[in-house]
Amino acid sequence: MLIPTLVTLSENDKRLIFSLLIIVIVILVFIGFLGYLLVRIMKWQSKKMDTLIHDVVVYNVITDRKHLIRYGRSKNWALFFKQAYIPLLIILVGVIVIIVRNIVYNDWSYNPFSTVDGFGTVFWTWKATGEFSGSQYDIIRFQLIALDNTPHLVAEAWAGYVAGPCFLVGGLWYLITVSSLLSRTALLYKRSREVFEKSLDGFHQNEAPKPIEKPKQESSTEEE
Amino acid sequence: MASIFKNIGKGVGYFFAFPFLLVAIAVYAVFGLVVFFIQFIKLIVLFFTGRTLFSDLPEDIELRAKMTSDDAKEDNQQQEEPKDDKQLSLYPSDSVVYGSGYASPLFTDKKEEPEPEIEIENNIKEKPSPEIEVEDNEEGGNI
Repeated sequence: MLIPTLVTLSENDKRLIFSLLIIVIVILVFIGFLGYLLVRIMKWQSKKMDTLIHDVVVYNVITDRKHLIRYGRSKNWALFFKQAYIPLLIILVGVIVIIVRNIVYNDWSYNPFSTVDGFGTVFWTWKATGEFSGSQYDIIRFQLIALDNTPHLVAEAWAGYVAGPCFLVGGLWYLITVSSLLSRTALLYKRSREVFEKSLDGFHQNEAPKPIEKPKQESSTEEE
Repeated sequence: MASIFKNIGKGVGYFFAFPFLLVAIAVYAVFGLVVFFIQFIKLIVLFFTGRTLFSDLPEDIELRAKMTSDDAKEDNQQQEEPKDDKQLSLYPSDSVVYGSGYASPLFTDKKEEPEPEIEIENNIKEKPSPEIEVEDNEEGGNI
């Protein structure tokens, strides 16, 4: 049943399937690349944990796994606090601006990213038309979406112009610090397993050479 | 060919791991925000007690004590070892350059005696040999 259906596909149907396949492959590759990039960045960020816990391990200050996790966790959160306060301050500035704007205009339903009176006015935006002609090529021809906004400045959107970038920059910065925290945590648990690991691979007690005994010192009384 | 399949497999792995990674980051972002505010309150409390959030942990204090004691041990070992006071001269001595029997004329007590002139027949003092003049060829140019 399936094979005769495929055989009876028209040339246009084949083109549609081929183009959809290419779109799917491109999306897969893009998401895979993003994942690869994120993992590489997190691996690079996690190296900081080695610096934090190196000395206490090398100088035998910490000699067990749980102690290392406890120490590393407290160091990790302290570092996170240091890294995160700047992006959170930036976000706080945006929040304060929005609150001031809402108090001045007495409007608490303001959306700072609105395309009417918010930060969205400086972007190209599209919206779904909801119109479907019935053709299978609507998606390919972008007939389901229509241009909603072209970049323009609006005086009433001043609060959005201040708060929008603050939210975007601060939010992205904060997410980077969070990914750093997550990667350091992962490395801490990995190191806590590795550092105190004891291995008997290739060790045979019967084959091992006996420890050399220290020669006994002759006492002075015997000499006399 | 195997590497291509390996890369494709990695890409598929990243594709499936990416959403979970994003979810983990989102959860940690919320958790981090809560911990941040707790730490902030803690920081304020510690400020009034004269401490900070970043003050040394007991492990750090112990580590510093160990490091200083190790340094002191090393210093003691160095002091116990016999010191080699010989210093290497930057400049080679004359005996190295000219040989063991050489004595510098500048620093000897002996007065320099003038070298006796070599007398040739008819008491003519030896003159330096004249330079060999290059004969011009027939055309007048040098060979």
